[in-house]
Amino acid sequence: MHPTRKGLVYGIAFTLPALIIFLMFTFYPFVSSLYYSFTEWDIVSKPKFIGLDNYRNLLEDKLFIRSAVNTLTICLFVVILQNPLSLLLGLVLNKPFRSSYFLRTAFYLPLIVSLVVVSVTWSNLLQYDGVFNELLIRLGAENLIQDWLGTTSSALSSIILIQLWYGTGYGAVIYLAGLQSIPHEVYESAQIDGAKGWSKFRFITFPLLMPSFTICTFLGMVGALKFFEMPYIMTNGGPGDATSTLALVIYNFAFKNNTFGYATAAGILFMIAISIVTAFQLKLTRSKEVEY
Amino acid sequence: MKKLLLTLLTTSLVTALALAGCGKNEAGNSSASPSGSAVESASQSAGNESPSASDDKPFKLRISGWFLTEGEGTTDAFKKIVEEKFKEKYPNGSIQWDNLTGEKYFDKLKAELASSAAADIIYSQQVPSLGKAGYLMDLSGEPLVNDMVDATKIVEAYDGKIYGAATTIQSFGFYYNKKIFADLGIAPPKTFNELLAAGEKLNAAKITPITVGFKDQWTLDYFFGGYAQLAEALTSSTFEADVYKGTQQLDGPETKSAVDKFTQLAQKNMFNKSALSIDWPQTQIEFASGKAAMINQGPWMAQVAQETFETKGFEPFEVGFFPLSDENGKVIMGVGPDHSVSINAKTEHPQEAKDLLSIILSPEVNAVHAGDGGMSGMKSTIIEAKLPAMKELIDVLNNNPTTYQWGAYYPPSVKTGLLNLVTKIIGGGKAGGGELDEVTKNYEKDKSLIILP
Amino acid sequence: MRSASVRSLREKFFDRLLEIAMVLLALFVLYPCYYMFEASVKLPKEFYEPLKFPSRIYWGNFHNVFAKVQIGRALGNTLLICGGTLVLLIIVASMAGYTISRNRHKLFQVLFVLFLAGMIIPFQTSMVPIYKLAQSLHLMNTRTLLVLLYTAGTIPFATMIYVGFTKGIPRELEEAASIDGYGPLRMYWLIIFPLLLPATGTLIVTTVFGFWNDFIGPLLYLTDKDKMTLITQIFVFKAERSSDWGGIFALCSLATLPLILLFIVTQKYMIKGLTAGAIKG
Repeated sequence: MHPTRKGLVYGIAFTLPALIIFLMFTFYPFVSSLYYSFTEWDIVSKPKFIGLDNYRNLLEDKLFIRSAVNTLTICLFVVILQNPLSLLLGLVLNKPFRSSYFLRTAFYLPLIVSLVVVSVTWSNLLQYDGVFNELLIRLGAENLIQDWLGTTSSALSSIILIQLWYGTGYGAVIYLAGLQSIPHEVYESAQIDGAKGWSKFRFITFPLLMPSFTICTFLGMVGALKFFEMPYIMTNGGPGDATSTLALVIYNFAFKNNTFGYATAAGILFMIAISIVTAFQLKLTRSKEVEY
Repeated sequence: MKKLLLTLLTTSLVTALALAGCGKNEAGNSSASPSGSAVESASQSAGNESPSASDDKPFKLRISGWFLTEGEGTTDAFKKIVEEKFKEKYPNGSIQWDNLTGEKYFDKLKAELASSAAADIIYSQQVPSLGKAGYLMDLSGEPLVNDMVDATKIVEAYDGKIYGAATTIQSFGFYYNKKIFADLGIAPPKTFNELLAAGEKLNAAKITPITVGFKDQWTLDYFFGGYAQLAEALTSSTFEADVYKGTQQLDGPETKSAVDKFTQLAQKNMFNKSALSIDWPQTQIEFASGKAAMINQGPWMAQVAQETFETKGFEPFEVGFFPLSDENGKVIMGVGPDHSVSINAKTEHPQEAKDLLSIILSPEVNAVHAGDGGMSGMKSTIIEAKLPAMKELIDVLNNNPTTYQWGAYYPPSVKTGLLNLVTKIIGGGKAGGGELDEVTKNYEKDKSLIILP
Repeated sequence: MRSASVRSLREKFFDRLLEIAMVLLALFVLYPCYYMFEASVKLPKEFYEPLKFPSRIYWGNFHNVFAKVQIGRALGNTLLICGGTLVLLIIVASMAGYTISRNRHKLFQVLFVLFLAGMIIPFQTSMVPIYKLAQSLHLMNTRTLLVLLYTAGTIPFATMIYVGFTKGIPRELEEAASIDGYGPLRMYWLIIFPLLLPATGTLIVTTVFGFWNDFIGPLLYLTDKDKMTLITQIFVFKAERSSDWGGIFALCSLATLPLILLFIVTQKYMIKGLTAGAIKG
C-alpha cells in the first residue's frame, strides 16, 4: 500500500474500527474527566469550578506525596532488582537443561494466576498464624514472627517480595526470547575471537539483548507505577499509609473521600509523571540498542 | 439553630431508644396488631389506588444493598417475605436484589447514582448527602414518616425534607465472654483503666483481650469513634457543629485523648497480633472460639455469636455487654441509623416503589429484617430482646446519655486521615506529629462536603 | 586438550549443580500455588495447621462452593467475555496494525503514537465517565460493555504486536496479489491475515489471562449476579464468607486450573510469540 489516494482511503477504513473503539472507551472517558480536575466534585452533586486549587493542594498533600514515594520505591525495586533477576533467570533458563520445560513453566506460572487469587493466597501465607511464621517458629526464629502485612515496617517490603515472585518470570521469558533470537554465528565468531564468560556477556550478549531490556524495563515500570490490585486487596494501603500507592490513593480520593475532582487532578498529575518517567527511560535504553 | 437541632437530636434519640427498649414489654399481647396505625394507613392508602396503568405488563424493581448476602438465614427470610408481599400486591412485579457485600458497595453506589444507573430502592448510610444532590425521592408527605423513630428523622433529612427511613439503628460497645471473665475473676470494666487491668489478666492467661479485624475499616471507625464521640460529647453536645463554626478544635484535646486511648490499647497488647490483617467475620470466630474475650461491635453481635456457635461447632457460652467508658467511668452512647432505605428519585415506577418501601418498613417485614439482634428504627416494629447481652445493651441505653456517632459531621477525608493515624500506631509505626495538622488541612479543604442538620 | 576436557567436565558439574538449585527454586516459586490446591482439599479443622499435610483429601469444600456459587454460569460468562473480546480485538487491531506498519502516511504514525499514549492512562480517573458513557449507550450491566472496555484497553498493545509482525511479511506477496486482481479487503483477509496467525496466537496467549482475571470491571459495571465472572465470584464470595477459607481456596483453584491447562498447552507458542512480538515492537 503506497501513499496513494486509494491507499489512504483504505488505510482509514482499516484503522477506523480500532480508532472508534479506542477513542470511545479509553480516550474519551479520560478527556472528559479532565474538566473535573478543575472542579470540586463529590460525584453526587454538581461540580463546582475552582481553577487550579486541586493541583495546588495536591502538591502539599502528604498522603499523596508518601504514596508517590511508595510507588517510586516499588518502581525502583522492579528496575534494579527484579529486572536483573529476570535477566539472570533468562540466562539460566537458556541453558539446555533436561528440566527446562518444567523450569520455564514454574517460573512463569505465577503470572497467569489472578491477582485476586495471588492476594488471597499470599495474605494467608503471611498472616500471623500462617505458614511463614510457622516456619520461622520451627526454625527457632520465634522472635522474628510478626503480622507481615499488618506491621508498618514490614508491609511494603512484603508486597515488594510478592511482586518479585509474581513478575520475575515474565521478564525472564522476554529475555529468553531475546536470547534465542541471537544468531548462532555471532557466538561462533566471538568464540574465535576468544571471548568467554563475563566478557562474552558484557560485550556480545548484553548489547544484543538491549531491545529485550528496553521492553522489560518499560513494561516493568509501567506496571509498577500503576501498581494497584495487590495493596487494594491485601492492605488497602495500610497500616496507615505504609503501602499506599498512587493508583490506590487516587481510587481512595474518589470513592473513600468523595472528592472526585481532587482524584481526577491527582490522576492527571500521575499520568504526566508516568509519561515523563517512561519517555526518559525509553530514550535512555533505546539509545543503547545495537543492530546485528 | 444548628445547635438546637443537634441537642434535639440527642435528646430525642434517648426517648426513641427508651421506646424501642420498652416496647418489648408489651410485645407479648400486642404483636398481632402492632401499634403502628401509621403503617396500616400507609398500606391502605396504597391499596386504594389501583396499581398504575401498566396493570398487566410485567415489571421489575431493583433493590441494592451491602448486607443482602444470600444464604444467611435472616437475610433469606427477609427477601422471601418481601417478595411474597410484593407479589400479593403486584402479581406482575418482580424484585431483583443487587447485593455487593461490604464497603465496596458504597463505591459502586456513588458511581451508579452519578450515571443514573442506580436501583429503585437504595439502601445507604449517607441519606442527607444523597438527598441534597437530588438523587432520592422526597418522602416527607408519606405516612411512613409518622412511624419513624423521631430521633432518626434528622439524620434522614436534608433541608427539612425526609429522604430515607432507618429500618434499624445501632449502637456500639463491648461484648464479652462471661465464662472467661468469671473463670479469671474479672468484673465488666467500669472505667478505661479497669479495661486495661482486665486486659493484663487476660494476657497473663494467654487469652487475647479484644479481638479486632481492622481490615474492615468500619470496625475501626466505630471502635475509635466510640472513644472520640465520648470525649467530644463530654465537652459539648454539639461538638462537631462547633468545629464547623470554629469554636472547637478538631485537633484539640478530645481527638487527642481518643488517639491516646488507642495508643494505650495497642501498646498494652489488648488486640490480637493480626489486628490489621483479619476482617470482621474472622473476629467472629476468634470470639466464639474463646480465643479472645471481648469484641467491640453493634447490636447484632449477640445474635451473631449464637449463630457462630451453631455453624462452626464451638462450645456455647453466655455473652455479656458493657459500654465504652473513659478514665472517670463516664459513659455516653453513640447512636445512629444502621440500614437506611430510600427511593431513587429517578425510578420509573414511583408508586410501585413507594408500595415496596411500605412493605419493607411494615412491622412484620421489618421485624424479620432486624432479626433477633436488631434494634428497629420504626416505632411500629417491636422486637423482643431475647439474648442477655441484648437486654444489657438496652439497659445501658436507657440509663445513660446518648449522642450522635463520631464523624457524622466530618468530611470522609478527615475520618480516613485519623483512622490511618490509628492503624499506623497499631502497626507499630510512630506517629510523626504532623498527622493532626494534615487532618485539619483536609478538613478545611473538604469542608463543603459537610451537611449539618 | 586435557585441560579443555577437565574444564568441560567441571562445567558440566557446575551446570548440574545449577540445575538442581533451579529446580529447588522453582519448587519454592510453585509453593503458593500448591498451597492453594492443598488448602482447597483440607478438612476445615486442619486448615489452621498450615504446615500439616492433609490427613485425607476432602472434597467437601468443592461441594459447598458448587452448592453456593453458580460455577457453570460464572465460567460461561467468563468464556463469553474472553471470547468476545478476543474476536473483536483480533479483527480491529490486526487491521489497524497492518495498516500502520505498511502505510507510510503520516496520519497513521500519529495514530500509532496516540494508541501508545493510551497505554499509560490510569483507569482510576476514567471510572465514573465510563459509567456515564455506558448509561447513555444503554450498555450498563451488559457483558458487551466489558468486551468493549477490554478491547479498547488492549488495542494499543495488540496494535503494537501486529505492527511488529507485519514487518516480517514480504511486500512482494501483496504486489503479486494486487496483480492477480485482489482488492485490499480480500487481499487482507485471504492472504495477509493467515500469515499473521503467529501474531494472533501471541496476542491471545499474552492477553487472555488479563481478561480472565480482571475483577474490578465486572464488580463495577455488572450488577446482575447472573452475569458475574468467575474471578469476581471469588471476590464476592470472600466478602460474604471470609472465614470459609476452604471454600475460598476451592473457588480460587477452580478459577486457576483452566488457566494453568491453557498455559501448559500454549507455553511454547507464547515464548516464540514473545520473541517476535515484544522485541520487534
